[in-house]
Amino acid sequence: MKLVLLSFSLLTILAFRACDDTPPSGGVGPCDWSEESDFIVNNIQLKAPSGMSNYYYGAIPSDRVIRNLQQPLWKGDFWSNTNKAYISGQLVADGTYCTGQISYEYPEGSSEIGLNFLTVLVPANDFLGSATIHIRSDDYKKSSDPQTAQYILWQGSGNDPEFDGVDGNILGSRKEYRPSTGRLPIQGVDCYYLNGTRICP
Amino acid sequence: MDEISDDSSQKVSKVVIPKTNFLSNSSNVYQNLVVRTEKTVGLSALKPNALTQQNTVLKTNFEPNNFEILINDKEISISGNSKTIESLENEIFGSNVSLQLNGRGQNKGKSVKSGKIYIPLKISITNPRIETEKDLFPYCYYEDFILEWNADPNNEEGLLVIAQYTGKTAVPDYANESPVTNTDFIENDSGRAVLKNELFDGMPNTAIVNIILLRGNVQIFEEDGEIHKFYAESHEILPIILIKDLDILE
Repeated sequence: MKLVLLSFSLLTILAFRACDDTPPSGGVGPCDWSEESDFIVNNIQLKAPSGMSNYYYGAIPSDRVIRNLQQPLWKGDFWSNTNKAYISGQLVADGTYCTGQISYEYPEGSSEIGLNFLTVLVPANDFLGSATIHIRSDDYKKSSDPQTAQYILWQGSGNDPEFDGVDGNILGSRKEYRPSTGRLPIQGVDCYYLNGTRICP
Repeated sequence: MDEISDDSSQKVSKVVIPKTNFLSNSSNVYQNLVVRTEKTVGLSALKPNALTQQNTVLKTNFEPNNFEILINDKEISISGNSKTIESLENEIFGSNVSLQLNGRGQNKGKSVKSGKIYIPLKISITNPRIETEKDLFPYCYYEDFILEWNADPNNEEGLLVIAQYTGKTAVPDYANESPVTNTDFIENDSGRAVLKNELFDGMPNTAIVNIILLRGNVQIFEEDGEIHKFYAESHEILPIILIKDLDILE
């Protein structure tokens, strides 16, 4: 299995139109994302935020820390048959060997999601780059308002060349929405930013 | 855009090459990063979010054990099998620094030395301010988005700001499955910028977006007919939920 080496790389593909097929003279060419590889999420400690329901806390370890990549994707108790949980993210090459980025999205149950790794596409040749992982739980009922769905977002990133993955010690953030209206309830519970000002209605 | 789907599972896995756009035509030092060079030495400091420690790593396109790597004539110390830098970090960011490589073993006698360049202070986003887990993924309205950070008046190389959308939204109804990455150049390191609205083009209401703010410096130099690259940068990721229509908030 190919080792995915991670380091910083955003500059090269994000600062320029580096996904063009033709590299600049003397420059590095685009990546050929054609090889499968596993990247490891090290030290997985996905911390559940406060404010979730007793049902949710009853389904996870008592210390409220999830230690694999599959448990956070379990089916929730909201009024839906569809599990909305997924893992997504990006790999970004750093231009040392090639330039470019790739996004992946794996729903719950995907064969690409292991207990502590994700199977991703990497360039066929040597690769140095950075990785981002983004985990969304399924929807859960809010205790005080069962028509409001709660879910958790976790996000981690890695740029260590020898770390071959992302540090999985990640704080979760609880978010809410109302599926019946498609709106985000923030009155008295959350804030938003408008022109640099934090507004908490 | 390429898309590869795994139809064998009930749900579909997707792997997509995102659309990328660069909003500025200004030339900037970061363009030197894509120059192919004989030897590359880079220092990269990543802060995955405001509540996480910044981690600085060493990047080379050669086996680092084959060369002694010196910054301002002091050898860089790295941690075990990791390339996390344990020393000199505070002497690099916010300082004028030079790089020297001295060959070891069969490379003994080979030496490369850069001129001095200024490496800006490590970046830290100050607004939107994230102080607790509850503040993570703030809702941010896209028009005239004001971003603030720790200014570095000595930085003459500007900054990059990147908006990265992976195709997911906070309200599933708005899901747009086309990832896009837009990048702009901020010329003045004043600590405050009103981001162009176009930075969020192609991203739907309630998009989950990573805003990445980055600054550093890059030097391309020649020695004995070979071209080499030395750079150092720091960047912080601010994950947000992008609001394009305020009516969605209630």
